[in-house]
Amino acid sequence: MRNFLFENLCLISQRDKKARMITFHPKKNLIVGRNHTGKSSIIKTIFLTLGANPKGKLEKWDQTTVTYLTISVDKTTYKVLYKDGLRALFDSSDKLIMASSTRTEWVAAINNVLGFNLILTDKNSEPLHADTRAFFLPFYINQDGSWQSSWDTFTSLLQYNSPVQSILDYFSGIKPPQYYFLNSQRQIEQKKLSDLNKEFSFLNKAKERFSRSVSLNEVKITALNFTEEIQQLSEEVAELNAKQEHLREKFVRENEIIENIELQINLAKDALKSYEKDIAYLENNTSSDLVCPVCNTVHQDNFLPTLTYAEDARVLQQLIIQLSEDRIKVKGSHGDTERELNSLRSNYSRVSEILQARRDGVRFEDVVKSLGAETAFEAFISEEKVLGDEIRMLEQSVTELEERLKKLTDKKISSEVLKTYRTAYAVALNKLDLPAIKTSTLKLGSRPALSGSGGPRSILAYYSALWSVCFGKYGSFKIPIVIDSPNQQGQDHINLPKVLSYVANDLPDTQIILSSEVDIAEKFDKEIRLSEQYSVLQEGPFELLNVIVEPLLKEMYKELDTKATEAS
Amino acid sequence: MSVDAFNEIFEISSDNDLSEVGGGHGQKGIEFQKYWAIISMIDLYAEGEDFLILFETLQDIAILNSSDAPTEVCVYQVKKKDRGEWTWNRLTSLTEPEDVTKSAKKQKDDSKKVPKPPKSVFEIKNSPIGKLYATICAIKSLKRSGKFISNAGVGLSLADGSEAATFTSCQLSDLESKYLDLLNKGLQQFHPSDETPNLSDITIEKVSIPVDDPQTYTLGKITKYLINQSPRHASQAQSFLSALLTTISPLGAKTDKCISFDELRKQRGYNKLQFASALSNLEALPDFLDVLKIWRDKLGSEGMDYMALTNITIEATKFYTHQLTGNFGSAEADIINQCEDFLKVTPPPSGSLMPFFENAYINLSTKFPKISKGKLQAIFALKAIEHAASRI
Repeated sequence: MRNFLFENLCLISQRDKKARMITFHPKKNLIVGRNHTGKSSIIKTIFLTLGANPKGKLEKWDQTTVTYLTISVDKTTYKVLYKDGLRALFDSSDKLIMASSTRTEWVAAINNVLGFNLILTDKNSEPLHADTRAFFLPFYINQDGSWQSSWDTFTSLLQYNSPVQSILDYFSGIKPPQYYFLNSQRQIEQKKLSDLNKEFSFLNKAKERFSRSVSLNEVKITALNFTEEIQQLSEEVAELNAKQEHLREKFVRENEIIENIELQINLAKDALKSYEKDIAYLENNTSSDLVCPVCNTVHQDNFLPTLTYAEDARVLQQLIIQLSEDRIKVKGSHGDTERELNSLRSNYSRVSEILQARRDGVRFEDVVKSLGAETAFEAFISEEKVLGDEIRMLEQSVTELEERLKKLTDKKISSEVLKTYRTAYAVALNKLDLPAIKTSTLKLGSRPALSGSGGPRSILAYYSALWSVCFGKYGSFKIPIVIDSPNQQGQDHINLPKVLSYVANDLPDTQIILSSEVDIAEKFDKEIRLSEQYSVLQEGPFELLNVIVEPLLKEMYKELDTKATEAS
Repeated sequence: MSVDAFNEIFEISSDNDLSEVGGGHGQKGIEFQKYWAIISMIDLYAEGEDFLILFETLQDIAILNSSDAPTEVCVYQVKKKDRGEWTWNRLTSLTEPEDVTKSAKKQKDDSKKVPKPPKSVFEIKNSPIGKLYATICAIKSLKRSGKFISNAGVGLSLADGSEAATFTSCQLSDLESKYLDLLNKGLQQFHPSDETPNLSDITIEKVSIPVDDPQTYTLGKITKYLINQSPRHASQAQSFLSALLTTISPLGAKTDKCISFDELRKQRGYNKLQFASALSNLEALPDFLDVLKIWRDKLGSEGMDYMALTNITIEATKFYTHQLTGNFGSAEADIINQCEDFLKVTPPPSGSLMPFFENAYINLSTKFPKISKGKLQAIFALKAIEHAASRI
């Protein structure tokens, strides 16, 4: 059960330079003061800060008052800053979590903090996240609307479409938070399921169209009839590919060699031309010493260097002849290679022949094509199966969720809750000195409409019964009960004490904030006394409290400005 | 004796009247003389004869029978003729003698023509025969003879009625009497009055050297010689001829005056020792192509594909191209050095070559990993063949 507490409230009027800080006890708090001392203002301000605008105006109240409310949810502290419709949420160390100027953003943030996931519907039956009005509705008796037969605690509740039953079911455990969580999961799964079903439907239609356009033999053709052809085809193709690869490599090598031969022959011929010139020079050389025209080496013995030089030229001439012969051979081979490559085409036609082979009136080629179509068809089937499996899984998930939802909304639970409620109601009526009524048919939403002085007491008894189930076995939250001024409801000196005593002693174990015009005999853990009329805020605390909130306000404004800039 | 002979030759060579050759020398004429000289060297060497050939010293060529102590000299006029035969007039500068065998009718026709005055027999001194004879007459210290060498025959009749052109050689003394009379009269000018010319001192010789392609003929002679004497080098005949030509060409071109016979010999002479040395040089030069052919055939039979074999030839061509031009890339030089280092340790085997090649490739590829197998094997083959050839 999530435990929610009001811890601290700071009120700062920067206009009036007045402020007040009120610290709440986790248990029983009494705000006592005469009329117009600000009891309701304090209480209303709490809810206003949290986004739930109570019915009734605040008299002589600075509408620009800054409120700084400290709350805790399961012992985690949060701070809410409010001014002029702007709100900011801080953590326990005053670090800004978020700031908002819109209802939607604020609701999302505070609901996340509270763990409040109730979904209501608006007037158009569109789902809507319930806000803090719904959160506090069963727990706040507003002096300006809650003591009557209708749920006039907060303004604009009519925005929702019949929200009260859902709210009461939520807190009582008939449709607890877990229900809404699971329901939300179910809705997500349901959406996925719906999308997959659409996809499946499209796939099915595509498969049907495909099977109409491709003639799949009624008699199932298998490749078994053509085993030999398949084997032959595989071997033929493998051989062809290997041969082609080899021939291409050979073709390239031969081409390179031919080019290389031609290059070397040309270079050699140029070298021989130079040699001829050199020899002519040497023949005309009349010097007794031979000066090599290539390297300028001086040879005194002419013959051997000349012979070696001439021999090099002779070798080169012969090599040119050899290379020319080699070139013819390589070119011949190159031509053969080219012809062989071309002839591979005819070999590929052999493959075509194989494809044309027939068995029992069916061509092998058709079998291949058919197999191809079948492969495509099988792909459809395979995809169908995958989708089908996913759909089944989602359907199962949805079913499981629905079962769990069903369990959560089991009639046994609702019967038990109602029983507890009715019993508590009867007890409360008795304690509040009201005549017994037939409670066996009472529903959670059966708000009494008693007139006269018994009316408020019957309302209190009703709320009390509600609280007994909200904080009972199937309840999910422990939320402070705030009762604003039962004295105002015209109770006499006999009944008022009973009411006050009842509130002090007989309510469930949760934080209680009671406002009273008169002192109460019962002991409260915290008494907040208000003495001055129209002056709940005072000058004394202003400086200190303003120093605290001022930087927080700046942070809030900065965050809102940044958001506004990004949005534009 | 030799000293007198050399001095005499030296003096004659310095006498322009005696050393001046008859007839013009074009390039073809010079080529003809060179090739004839080379053929003569081969013939003389093959016969075991000692010789000293002097170019452009005593007429075209003079061959002494010894480089150190000659006893004989033969002086040559070596003349090519592109067309026809040598005529009397071209040989001797003399008028054709009366032809007594002319028919009566020819004689009657000729008698109607204005007769040309006959040339003086002294004109012979300006002819090839005259100059040749004058030179040999000047030689006293050596047994001397003269030869008129040509590719064309001489169109003169011999005393026995045959034609000189039909013989490879004939002496002047073999000519018909009408020629002999004129020759004796003309050549007498070179003798004292108490001597008569010795026409048998001059021989006319026809050689088979083709004027238009003396090289091929000469190459054939050298090849034939090498086949007999040094068959491993017969294929290198071309290189040998080329080197010989390069060696002897300058010998006839130098025009500086010599101050001694020794200088003359050095400037214009070529002897047997030099020829022998040339042959030794040839025999020390390995025939790369011979081994390349053997290895190509062997590697082919061991399974090396024809493209790899072609690559070897390509690399060899590249190598020899670089040899001729002197342009070696440093990368190839490194590979060549590495191959040579390998061959020092692992010479080529006499048996199977493929394992040897594979082994070499493994060695080379670790040092030159970026060079293709084909290139490495080809360069290695080149060096291995050189190595093998040098050890044959």
